[in-house]
Amino acid sequence: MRRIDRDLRPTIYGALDQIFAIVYAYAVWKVIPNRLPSASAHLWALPVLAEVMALGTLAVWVPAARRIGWWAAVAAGSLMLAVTVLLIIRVLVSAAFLAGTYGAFGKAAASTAMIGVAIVIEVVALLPVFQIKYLMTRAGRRAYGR
Amino acid sequence: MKFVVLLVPTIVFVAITAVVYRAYRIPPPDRLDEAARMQVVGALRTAMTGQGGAAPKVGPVAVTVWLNGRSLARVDGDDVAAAAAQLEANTLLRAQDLEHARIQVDVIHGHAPLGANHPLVAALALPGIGDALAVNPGIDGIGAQVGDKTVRVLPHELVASKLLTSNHPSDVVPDFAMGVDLKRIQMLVALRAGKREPVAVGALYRFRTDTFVETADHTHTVALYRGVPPAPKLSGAALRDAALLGGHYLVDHLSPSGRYLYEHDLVSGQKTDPRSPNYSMPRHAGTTYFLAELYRITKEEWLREPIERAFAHLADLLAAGHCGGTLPDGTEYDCVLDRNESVAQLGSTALAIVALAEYQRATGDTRYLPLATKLAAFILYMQRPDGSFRHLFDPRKKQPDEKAEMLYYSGEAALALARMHAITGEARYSKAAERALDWLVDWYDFFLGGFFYGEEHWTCIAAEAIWPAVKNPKYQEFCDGYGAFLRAQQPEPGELPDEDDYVGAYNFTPFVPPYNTPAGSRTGAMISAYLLGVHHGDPDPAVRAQIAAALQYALGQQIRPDSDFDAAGSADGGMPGSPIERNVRIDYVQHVCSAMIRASEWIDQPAP
Repeated sequence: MRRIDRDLRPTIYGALDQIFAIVYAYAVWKVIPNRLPSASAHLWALPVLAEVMALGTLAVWVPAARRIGWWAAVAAGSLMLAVTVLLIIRVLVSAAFLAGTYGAFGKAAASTAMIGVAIVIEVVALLPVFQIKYLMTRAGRRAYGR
Repeated sequence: MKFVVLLVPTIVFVAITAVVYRAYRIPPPDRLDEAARMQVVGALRTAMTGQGGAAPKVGPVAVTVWLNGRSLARVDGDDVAAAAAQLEANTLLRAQDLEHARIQVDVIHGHAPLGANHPLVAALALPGIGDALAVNPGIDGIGAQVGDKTVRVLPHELVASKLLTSNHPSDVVPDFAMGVDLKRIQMLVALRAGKREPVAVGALYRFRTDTFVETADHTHTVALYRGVPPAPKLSGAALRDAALLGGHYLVDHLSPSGRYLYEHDLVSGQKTDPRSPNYSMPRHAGTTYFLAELYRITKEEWLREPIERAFAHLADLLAAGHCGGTLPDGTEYDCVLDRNESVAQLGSTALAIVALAEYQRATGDTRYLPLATKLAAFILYMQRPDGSFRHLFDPRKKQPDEKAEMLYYSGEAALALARMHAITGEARYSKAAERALDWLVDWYDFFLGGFFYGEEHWTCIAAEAIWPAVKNPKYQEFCDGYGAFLRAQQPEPGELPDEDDYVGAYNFTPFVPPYNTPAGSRTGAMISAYLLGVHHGDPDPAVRAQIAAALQYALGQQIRPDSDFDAAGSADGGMPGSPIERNVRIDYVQHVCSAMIRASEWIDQPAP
């Protein structure tokens, strides 16, 4: 009997995307709600993009939607990375503003900012980085019929 | 090519950081030398008396004429001559006591955006930062061009307006205030320009100043930074003088009834009515403790009557408070209860004992010992078998509150017991103090407890006070560790380049000015930690340096003849709440001056 080797990675990535989307949504809604529209939009971009990544990635189970699913996952992942870069820029702009106004940023604030950026990279950026890397490989393209 | 692509994010990050930093940065201005400052002040003083004369050119200036701590005149000019002309034109000035007036000059420097006025900050800064932390308080002024009029609100005027820490960033927590209230500053600038509508935030900008003021005898000027002249050089004599000045402040702020004038607003000169319910008995007792300590060390006789007057007030309260009673074993006890209180606080009674014991240590007079013994019976009653304390007591029900936990009270009670041992030699007090200290120190005996300390200054003062009756090395280890924890909050010279005036203070970030009281209360604890090290033959030199830095900072902050030009009311010796909080409370003076007088006894001696 011939053994069928199915690539499990799209399913794993899709499941992770879905979990992250739910966690992000809960965090933005309940834990760190922001009353300012620009900040709120920035934060809500995370669960929305994670959900698009999840739907696109899990489209591997629907042959007719595989191609568009691949594009959706790559685009949403790339936007997620852009959002991460923007978050880092916001931290840097704030730090530069404070250093300019006060003449110093201080060890505590510098440490907090560094930890903040590290957490953003770890929590937001790593998943799309690995997922896009996979989707761009030959195996990733093949899984989506490309 | 790939390498260049990888560098793009870094280049973007660095470029954006540089653009924003450069836009907001106003470097500290070069200071005029004494000769130039005297020329400026001389020209202004001549003009003030109605005579014209040559004026040096130093750029735009703002001039404030102070008399008895209040602003008599305030003019702006594009140069000294223009400001002098306005003073000369003000004929009403000549009717004033100009001999005692002091001229302050702010030479205006720099021009930078305020808050989120820069597009990158408006679009990208984290929420709230641009607004709440828009101004370096006491350093930055705010200006605007309103029509053809230039309006400048000087750094000290922003401080006096109390708008630098009155921003309410959250509607959810209305009591939480931090940072600048820009809305009210917009209105303040508008009123200065004669308008009724607030000036748009976009029209406001920041500037800095080279500020100086005449000395009282008009023979010199002193440069100001954040409104404060250079501090006296740290020495035993300087500390003793400063502590005695603090003692004079408190004696001047003690009413005939023996109750202190609790707070003194340096901007308005307003003092708390001693009959007001706005009072704290622990602070009454703590302040009297400091006066007794000052008397013990200096033997200045003018202190004795006010100390006894403050004790008489305590005795009156004890007589009227109905807080006392008899324990089941027949021991009489008493506790301090203010007129408007229905619940007795452990801290009030504990610090009253400390003050009474200090008086006996100073004078040898045992007249208050029976009273102190009754109060100490209350402290012993409030102690649990494990060494901890109940902090509140309902005198009507004769019932302690088993749940309430108040800051400081356990450490204060431990000190009270240690002091009772010092004046009586009775072992029951030393054993109770040891149990209390063991409980306080061992409370941290869990994993996360190794990362932080609470406000443990009374604990360390008590740990030293009980020596040599209790010689536990773990107290020294605890207090040296507390010192290391606090040093992490103490800026060193050059660490915060624009804010070297904060060196020695305890603060968390450069964005929030430090409170002055911790420079006293924590230093009091560090003095005890250091002395504990001396007793054990192993004093920590880092703690000694920490004490010196904090006291050098505190010397600069105290109101003294150099710096009282803008303090309304008799305020010499007072200690403001912070460099930007122009309010003196009795315990600010108590804590700082207590540390000063204790350190004055050994600070000039070489380290053992």
